[in-house]
Amino acid sequence: MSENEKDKKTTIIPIGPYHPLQEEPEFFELHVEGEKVIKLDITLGYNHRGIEKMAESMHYDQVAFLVERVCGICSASHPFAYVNAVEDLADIVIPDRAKYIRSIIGELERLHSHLLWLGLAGHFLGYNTVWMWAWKYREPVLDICERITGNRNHYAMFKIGGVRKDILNADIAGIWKMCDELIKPLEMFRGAVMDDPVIHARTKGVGILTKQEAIDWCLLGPTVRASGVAIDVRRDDPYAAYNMVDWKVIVTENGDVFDKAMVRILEMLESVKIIKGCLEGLKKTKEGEIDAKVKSIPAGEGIGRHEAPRGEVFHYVRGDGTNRPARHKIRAPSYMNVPSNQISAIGGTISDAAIVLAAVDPCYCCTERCAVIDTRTKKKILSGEDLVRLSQQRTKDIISGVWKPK
Amino acid sequence: MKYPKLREIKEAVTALIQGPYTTKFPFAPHTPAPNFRGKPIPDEKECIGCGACALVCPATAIEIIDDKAAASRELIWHYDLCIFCGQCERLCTTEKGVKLSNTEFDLATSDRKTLFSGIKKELIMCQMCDEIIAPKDQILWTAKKLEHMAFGNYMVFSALLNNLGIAKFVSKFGVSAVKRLDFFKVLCPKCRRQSHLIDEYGDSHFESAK
Ligand code: SF4
Ligand code: SF4
Repeated sequence: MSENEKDKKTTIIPIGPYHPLQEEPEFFELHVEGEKVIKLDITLGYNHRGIEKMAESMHYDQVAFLVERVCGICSASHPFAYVNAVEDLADIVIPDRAKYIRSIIGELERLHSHLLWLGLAGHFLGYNTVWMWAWKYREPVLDICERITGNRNHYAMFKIGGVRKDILNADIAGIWKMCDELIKPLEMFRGAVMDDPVIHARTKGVGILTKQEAIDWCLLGPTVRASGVAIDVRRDDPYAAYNMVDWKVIVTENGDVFDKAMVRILEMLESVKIIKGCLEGLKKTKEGEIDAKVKSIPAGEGIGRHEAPRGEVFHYVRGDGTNRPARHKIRAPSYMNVPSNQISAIGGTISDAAIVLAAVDPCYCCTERCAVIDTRTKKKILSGEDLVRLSQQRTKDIISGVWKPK
Repeated sequence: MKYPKLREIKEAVTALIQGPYTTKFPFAPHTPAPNFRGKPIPDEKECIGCGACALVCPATAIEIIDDKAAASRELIWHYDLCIFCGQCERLCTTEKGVKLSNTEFDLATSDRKTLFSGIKKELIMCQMCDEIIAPKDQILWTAKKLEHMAFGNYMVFSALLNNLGIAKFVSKFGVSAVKRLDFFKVLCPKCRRQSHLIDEYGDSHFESAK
């Protein structure tokens, strides 16, 4: 077959880029031959909001609120990395109590973010029960957030030198109980993913990223830990209270969608463990000691990192001795993770593409904007809903035995 | 039946008995957590109109409108811009000027022009050049903080007298040159500095005094 003829056989499926609900508009161009994905083009950078520039026009203290709004789900990760960066710049040591509170917020965010992902993954597989479960059990996590910080999201807790709100010792028992109640549903999810034959059929051996590939593509977070690379900023470069409590980094070996789900579920159980450890720690520190009372920020450079639910988020801040940052640079984990779809989606089928693209946990609302266009006739064949429907159909086929996984 | 199916059925039955986790809002009232950060409500009595909150608000949701002719200042909290961060409450000069409500969260409306609340404050103006000095309440608040030392500053002192109804503010003498005599007027910092310098070095150095 000549190159030309081959081209004619390929159909291009554009996914994205615009959707008002997405945190990061991405544009995927799937080149398919029949059912099989043979090439994937990824374009990023549709959502340039000028946040870094805006940060340079605000006070150091105000920037914490600005970066909180980089992402709705990661609304603790960015301020976390930002305050780490400024504290690195100004050599600030924060009180232990603030460290514990910061870690609690960071882990609560990981819990609700992973539950959100689990629900979406279930939905894309057509396993809507998991979707309903996961989102139901995400609610108590958000309730704990509201109870501690005053909001379900956008916590407004991170402050250079500490945190803005204390967790009262009288409240610890209540929060502890709420955390305890999370363990049962989390264990149930572990079981549901471990022994459900349908989930196995849809996710095992799908979208594999080998260890070497994961290293070569500089991937981060659960995406890389599922491929057997044990990196986690919380352990490798400890900050906040992560070296003051007992927990472990979750690593699995296979690099497929199943392992990515497993890593996230096991990580959630670790998060509960971290939160409990931190609550214990709070009892040992004095109420109200949550702020190092920073007066001014000197000139200099600082970097801050935080293991966000999706991987390491990186902030760089340069100060010139004034009360505003001279330069602020942000690198979010999805920026590194999304390109990995170029390997994981290739060779699979379109119906697997939905879950493979979702496995790195980008915000997946973009799928709903998908359309399959025949390159010859420029006619639309599939819409965004169709892609989800296709994926869900495959699950039904597996259940009814029409389609057998290889 | 296989175990995964049984688990689903068990969950379905519990869900049926327990009902949905979410509240029925707006059909039934919803009570947020006691720590909840809702609508910031300014307090007409406790706020002194200093405008510090507008400087720290990360969302620039607090607007200050000064009306020189009417000698009044309006402080407006725009709820459509507000991110409910609580900075205005935390960093308020008097610590009581504005409070975030922990019950009012339902601000949805189809007309965003109605999404604000504001307070009005009387301003003290420079009697010479018609510049804004500060809201009257802020000067009185400062006087209270300074206690007996308040009488060392003519402006604070006269604001106190005015508040007691003993003296009256002549709001404006008209824009004219500052003189040594003007020492005993309510002056903005710029005019005050000038009259001090005239007092020290004489008129001859000053263009305006000639
Ligand atoms: S709560 Fe925050 S955003 Fe809202 S007015 Fe106060 S400082 Fe501004
Ligand atoms: S007193 Fe408080 S609320 Fe009033 S203007 Fe000053 S800072 Fe704002």
